[in-house]
Amino acid sequence: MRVLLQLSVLALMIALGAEAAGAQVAAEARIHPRIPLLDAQGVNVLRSGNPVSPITTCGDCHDTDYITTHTVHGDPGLEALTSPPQAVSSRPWTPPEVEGAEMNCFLCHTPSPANEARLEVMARGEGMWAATATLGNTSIVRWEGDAWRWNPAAFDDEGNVQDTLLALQSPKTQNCAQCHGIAGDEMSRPVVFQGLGPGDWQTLSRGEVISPQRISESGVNLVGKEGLTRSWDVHAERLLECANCHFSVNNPIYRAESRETQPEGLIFDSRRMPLGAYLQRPSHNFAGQSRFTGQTRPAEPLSCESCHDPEPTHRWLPYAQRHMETLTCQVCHTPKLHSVSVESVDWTALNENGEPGVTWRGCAAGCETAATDLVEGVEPTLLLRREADGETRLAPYNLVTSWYWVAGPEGEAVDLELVRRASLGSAAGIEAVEARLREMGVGDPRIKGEIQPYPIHHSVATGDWATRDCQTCHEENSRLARAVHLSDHAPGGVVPHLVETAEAEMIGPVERRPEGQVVYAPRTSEAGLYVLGHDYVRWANALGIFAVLATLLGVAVHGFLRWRAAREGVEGSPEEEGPPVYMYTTYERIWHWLQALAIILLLLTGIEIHVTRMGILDFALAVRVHNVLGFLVLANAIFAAFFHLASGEIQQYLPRPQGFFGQAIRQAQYYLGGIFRGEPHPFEKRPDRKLNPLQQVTYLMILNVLLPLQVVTGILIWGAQRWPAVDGMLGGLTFLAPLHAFGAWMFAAFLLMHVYLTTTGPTPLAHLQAMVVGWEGTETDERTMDPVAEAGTRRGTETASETA
Amino acid sequence: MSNDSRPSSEAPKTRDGTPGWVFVALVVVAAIFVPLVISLSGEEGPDNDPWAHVEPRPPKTDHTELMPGPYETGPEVTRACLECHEDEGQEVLQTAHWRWEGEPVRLPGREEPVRMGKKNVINNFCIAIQSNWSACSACHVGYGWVDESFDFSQEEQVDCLVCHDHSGQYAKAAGGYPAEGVDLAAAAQSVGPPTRDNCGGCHFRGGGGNAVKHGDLDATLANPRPRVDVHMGTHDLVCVDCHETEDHDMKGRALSVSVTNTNEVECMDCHAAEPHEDTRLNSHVASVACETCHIPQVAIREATKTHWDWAEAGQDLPEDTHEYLKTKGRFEYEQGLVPEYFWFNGRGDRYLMGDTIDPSEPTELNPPLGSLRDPEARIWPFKVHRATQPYDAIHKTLMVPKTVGEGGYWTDFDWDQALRLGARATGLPYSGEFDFTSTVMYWPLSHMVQPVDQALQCRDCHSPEGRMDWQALGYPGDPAQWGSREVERPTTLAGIGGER
Repeated sequence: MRVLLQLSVLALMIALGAEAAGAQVAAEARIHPRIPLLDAQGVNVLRSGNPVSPITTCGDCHDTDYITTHTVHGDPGLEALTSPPQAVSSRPWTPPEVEGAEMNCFLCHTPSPANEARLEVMARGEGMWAATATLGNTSIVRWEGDAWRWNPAAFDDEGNVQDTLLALQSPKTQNCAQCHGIAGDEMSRPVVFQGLGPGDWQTLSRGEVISPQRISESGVNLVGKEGLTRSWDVHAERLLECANCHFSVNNPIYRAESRETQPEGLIFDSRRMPLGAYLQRPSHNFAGQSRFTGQTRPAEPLSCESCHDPEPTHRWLPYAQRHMETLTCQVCHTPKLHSVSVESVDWTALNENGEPGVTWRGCAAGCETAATDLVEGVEPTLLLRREADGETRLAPYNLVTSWYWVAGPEGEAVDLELVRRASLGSAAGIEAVEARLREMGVGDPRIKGEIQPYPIHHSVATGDWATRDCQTCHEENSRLARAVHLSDHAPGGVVPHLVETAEAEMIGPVERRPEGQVVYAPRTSEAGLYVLGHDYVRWANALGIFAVLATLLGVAVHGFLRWRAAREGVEGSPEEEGPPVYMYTTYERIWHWLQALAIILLLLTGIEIHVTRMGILDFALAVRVHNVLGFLVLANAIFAAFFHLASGEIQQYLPRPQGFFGQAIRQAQYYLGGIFRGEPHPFEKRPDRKLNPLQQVTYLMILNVLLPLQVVTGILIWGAQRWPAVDGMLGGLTFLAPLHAFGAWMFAAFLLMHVYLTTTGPTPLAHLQAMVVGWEGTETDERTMDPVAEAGTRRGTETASETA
Repeated sequence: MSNDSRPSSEAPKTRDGTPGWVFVALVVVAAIFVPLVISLSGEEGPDNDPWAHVEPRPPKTDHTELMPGPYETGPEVTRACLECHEDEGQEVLQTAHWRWEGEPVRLPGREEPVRMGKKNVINNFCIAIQSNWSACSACHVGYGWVDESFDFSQEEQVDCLVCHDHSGQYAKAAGGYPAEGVDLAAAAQSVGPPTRDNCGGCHFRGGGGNAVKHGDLDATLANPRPRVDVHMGTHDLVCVDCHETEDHDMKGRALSVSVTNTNEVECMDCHAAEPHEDTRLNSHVASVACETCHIPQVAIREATKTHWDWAEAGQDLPEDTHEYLKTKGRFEYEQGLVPEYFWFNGRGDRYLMGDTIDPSEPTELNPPLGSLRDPEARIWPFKVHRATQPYDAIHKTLMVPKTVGEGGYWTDFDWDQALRLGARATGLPYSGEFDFTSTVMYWPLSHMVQPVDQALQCRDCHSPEGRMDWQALGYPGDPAQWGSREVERPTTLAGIGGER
């Protein structure tokens, strides 16, 4: 059987991989019966001296045909890598053949497999001895200078190996860690990054460290280490092993029908595959296997919600559901990897050993050696991923960018040995390498740039260490839109693209910056998101600010002119006031001031939400206060509407059609001219007729257009989490939020105008006082725009010059 | 709408005459802030303000004018104190610090209640005070306890200064008398509420020297770094902040001399019963003492004694206080001691003078009571001290040697003589034949509480390499796999105390 194993090419810095195998939770009891070790012909190795064949040995009881065809660990499908469309790795290597290697049960199912010995054997091409070498740490077999020799003392009289020596067990985290990176349940030996090699690809490609220790107690040269009193990974801390989550898909302990297909009302289906049947044919496909080898993945996605219900612990989070529909758990719960990870791999120019140029993320000043350089850590990049429940969410990834030579019409990857020879001494650069490749007979060599996303699922933090600060995302420099540095330069100027088989999408372009760096520039809009505090529609803001500034200017000029007129002694409105009139009832004043105060607070909290740079209030607090006040305004408006309708006060707001325009123009002329000349108001304010025509029109628009618009858009924004379908129909937050913001600017402009115009009474504070105490002095010199008495008739004395 | 033209003096008012606008203002403000307050409150973590439970310290009164001196003897100082502090003398006479004996208690398997205390029990350090009073009473809060005839009713013999001196130069010598060269007047003028140095002067040096006995009490606690003890280091609490005192009666129990848990100090005197935000951690509280996770090791800076072999004493070998002394025998010390864990419900059993032993087995002098099935018991950390000490080979009772003074072992290195003189003091029969046997003492640990980021993590106990011997504790296996013990939870989480 020709099986390609990723670690056999030691020149490679990152190994591809499928995820580790895992069966049941590790038990301490040794229950596996004593077995003989058989060679490929079925003969006991003690007799033949041949290498042990796990397939033949274990195949007596366990259905190895089934196992080897239901796994990604036996054959990761790396044969497919030679053709470009399936070159899913970030290294275009030609996988070597290792003659005779079988799926190696001992690597995962014994407590201390001799992995280095095994790798050496495979590097020599002696695949058939790989499983034997794996037992090299026990006394069952020994390397005696020239060959592996079986140790008869390790076997009993019947030729079975001592079970305490073979010690077959369920895979533990340390078994997985041999290939997958820094993982384990070790508490006493501090985690270090020394000796990171191809066998630590999970750490190298993602920066994941799966250890129960506290980061502050590790041996890593880490910035701020003393303050990092959290564990590297909370699941490892809480006693979980790899196999507890990545269980075999037909493991009867974990295997359960999904809740969607289970009959309603059935809580737990206790029918299980008998243990013996499982042990006979245990699938070695595991829940949560990653997909990016290009294989069809068995339908066994793993979701945090298989075990966790996020609701009870996220009550502190406003719009919790909305967050969870938009982000995967890992976005906030793996906010940072406190380690290094690979950033880019440049295969276009190899050194003498055939090694590519590798750059790293996470070091404070560029990594030479991950072991000792100062590590800052890496913030994962967020890509959009479609999940099993059909939703697309942002999820954290580490992006590894690679460039390599392809040739020929179908763009096959050029053999690395050729590239190595072409690269020798290429201080001259890409052109020289290309020229040499052509000389070597490579047809049409060109550079291909590829970005491989590695999803991040481990190194989970919980509680205080998860992202809790709203302004991580709800801010101008939002994490969701932060540019990600992919590489300092692009070989050949080639801009890389995401691999076709990636299961995630980028939400923005990959660009080259002026100094040559390659950068991924995500944009929230491309993910269909409108992030409060970060996103805004430029023209809506511009128009709104313009309206506010124009109002401010108008008010300032008008006020200045009036002040100047008053200083020059122009006769103002008559100072004698008639007997005070009860203008505003208690309820009117209550509803007015409640509305006023609520709207002012809404504007303040609203600007904090819209532009979190203001820093007046904490974002989460602003959101809460805004929501409460929004509903208050709604309730107040509904009560007020009822009051006005029931009491008939509504009449005050309705302009009389007859003669309306004339009166409106008269009023306008007063404001634009008459007021500076000290003329009296053309319109007498009476309790039964408090609003002049211009006011009537204005309030009509405010109360029937702007206020409902604000309230309705506000409710829909608030309801984005409860009724996402409704929001979607109306254009989503992307439409509603800028509209709401624009309305807010309009309200602000209105507020300025309104407050200013209240100063146009007999005294600047007269109208204000009226709205506070309810009483207002009347003007003795009555000028009335009595619509009933219109058509020339006026009461009181007036001069002809004051007529319209 | 009516066109009221009433003058403003008749502006609408509320019934009690408040102007209407005030009413409007109140309604508006209430309508805004009440919903805000209601919606914004309600996010509370565990109700946990320990400082609310720490008593304010009494101010220190300057005694310079009040105690002019000069004073020749300790009791002279005490008489001066008693001129103002009239009741305090009698208060002290009732306490265990004075009497070295507690109230009568019942012990399991004994019909009559017993009175026990340092006065009359055997330990496995220096063994017992009988016949050795003059040396041991250097840590007695009195003057002159040199033999069994000491009169415990004389309040002038109370030593006020040992607990209240702030001058730092007060020390006691044999018999409890002030040491040579102490300026009693200076000491008397400096008095104030007890500091860690006052208590520690004796309690850090039990067993014959600094750090020997308790493991969690040694001179580093006089001025500890935060990582050594979070209460006395980070928060600079003194002993009496937790060991609250009323009328000189101090809260607190030592399992070496007390077997009950009334008037005990508990974490929950100040801290919430379920103080963790994480519910999984809170679920440990019913079976695991706070100390277990929060005192991962003791003897952090200074090594503590873990083994004492008296049988090796008397030989002329090279001496080292941490290895071998001719007077005392061979020792083992350990620093950074990892505790041993046992069930403990706050009460203990006690070996009393005259009890028979089985010399082929180690004798537990003060075994903690409690078990898996005891709902009041929790898993506690202990320092275990193991020793080999003399016993009467015929009567099979542990014997008290006279070590101090004329004829004592530390002078003559003659066990038979020492045991005979000791027997005379204790009243135990001595057959003339002696041998050595193993004994064990348990010291529950409550001090050297380390900061939260040093607390034990899950795998420190729940793993094959973990600290817990599950089967020894009575579990079938690791409770993370087997499930927790099923006992009825007590209705009050009494822990090591009585009802709260």
